[in-house]
Amino acid sequence: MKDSFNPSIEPPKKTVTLVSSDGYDFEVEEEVALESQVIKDGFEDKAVDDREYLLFNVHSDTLELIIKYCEKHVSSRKSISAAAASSSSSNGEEALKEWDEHFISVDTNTLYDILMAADYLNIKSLLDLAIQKVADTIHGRSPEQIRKKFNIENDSIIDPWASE
Amino acid sequence: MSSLQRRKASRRLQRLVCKKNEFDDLPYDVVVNILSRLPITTLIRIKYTCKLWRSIIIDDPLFPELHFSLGVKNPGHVYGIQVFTLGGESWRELEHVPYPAPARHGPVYCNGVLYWSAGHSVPYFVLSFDLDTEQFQKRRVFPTGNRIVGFNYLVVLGENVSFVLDLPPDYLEVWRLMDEKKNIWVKKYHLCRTPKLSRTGFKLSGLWMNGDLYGMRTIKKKDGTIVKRLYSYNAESEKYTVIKLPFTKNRNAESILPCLVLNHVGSLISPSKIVTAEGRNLLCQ
Repeated sequence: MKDSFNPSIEPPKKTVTLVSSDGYDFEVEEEVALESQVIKDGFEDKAVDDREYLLFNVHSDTLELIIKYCEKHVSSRKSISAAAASSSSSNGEEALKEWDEHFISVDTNTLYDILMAADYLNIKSLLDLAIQKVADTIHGRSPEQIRKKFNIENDSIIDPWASE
Repeated sequence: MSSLQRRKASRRLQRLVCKKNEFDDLPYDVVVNILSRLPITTLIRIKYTCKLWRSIIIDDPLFPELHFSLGVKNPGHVYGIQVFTLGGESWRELEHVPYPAPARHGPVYCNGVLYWSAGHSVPYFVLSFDLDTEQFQKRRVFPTGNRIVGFNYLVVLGENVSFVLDLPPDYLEVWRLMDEKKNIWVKKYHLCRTPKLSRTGFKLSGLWMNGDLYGMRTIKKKDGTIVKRLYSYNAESEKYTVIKLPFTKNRNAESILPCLVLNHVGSLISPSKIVTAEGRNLLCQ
């Protein structure tokens, strides 16, 4: 693995500051932040010393998770393409899928927060992952169980099947 | 525990206490996306979970196609088509079905050919099935593949089948199939959306005799009720006109929602004639 680079040779990584809704600063590498399409759009137009993003809709707890996800995906992509370049066999993609699966196995509230943040930041792969998780959770449950699980108010007009 | 951790822990607690779960507050697009990944059988079972889901699954005119297009993307579907010839004895299973069968709202019929959209992931392809030769065909509507993915559907405008590319919130493009054999599509209309029509839910339905287009707009009000409005569009003046339908209320003063608008042309041909006619008339399942 080439993950352990020598810091004296590598140029200093450019960073971006993300500020959560509750006021915490998170300094992340540029390429990690660029996983978000919202940040990516118009990123080049921003002055280098002005690369600070106030994320009004993302709480620090959620932002921590989101950054963890983006970092993992950036590093995995690199190791997968490195393995492909040296034509050595790698199970990187499968390992990443497993990691994703583990990452998204969270309680309903956290899943909701991730979903909202991924939508807000427009991180397509994460939004996809979270949406699929919700869909999988819905699948195989009755309306009553779904309402309970996701705390959805039953405002539906009479269910014709309910009495059966 | 550091002070930061402590602060965060207390915040987390606060949040848990005052948090009401908000799955009903998810953006509309996200909910549509979630539901479109579920199989039909599940959708039928859960459609009464809440008003919003019900309105998406049952009333959103674009949902069936979105659901279908995701089904196309997911591998593992087996495509099968059966045809029934009027005057014939039973349904026949077609061999070599290269493309997914049309979605429930998908296929439109025009001059002996059924057309349906190939899905939203490839918005520049249309699939067709010639009822006479029983041949499937994949048709490219416009050349580039690098276009914004939008909703798309097919509609018969006058004599020709047309492909509508819906790119909310800006505009609709209408491509008309001018030559079925050579597969020549021509961009016929470019409808800019007015602010009122900027959201999805406006769907073109057809062409009036005078050459104006018409379409229906589905509006979901905040209280969950659905309103449908019929619009007419004049390409020259680029103006939309609301068409007032005279029968919007039934006897019990409940609103009637139009669900389908068709051009009707009376015909003197009786169905029995169709069965015995020489040309083969097929029904598709």
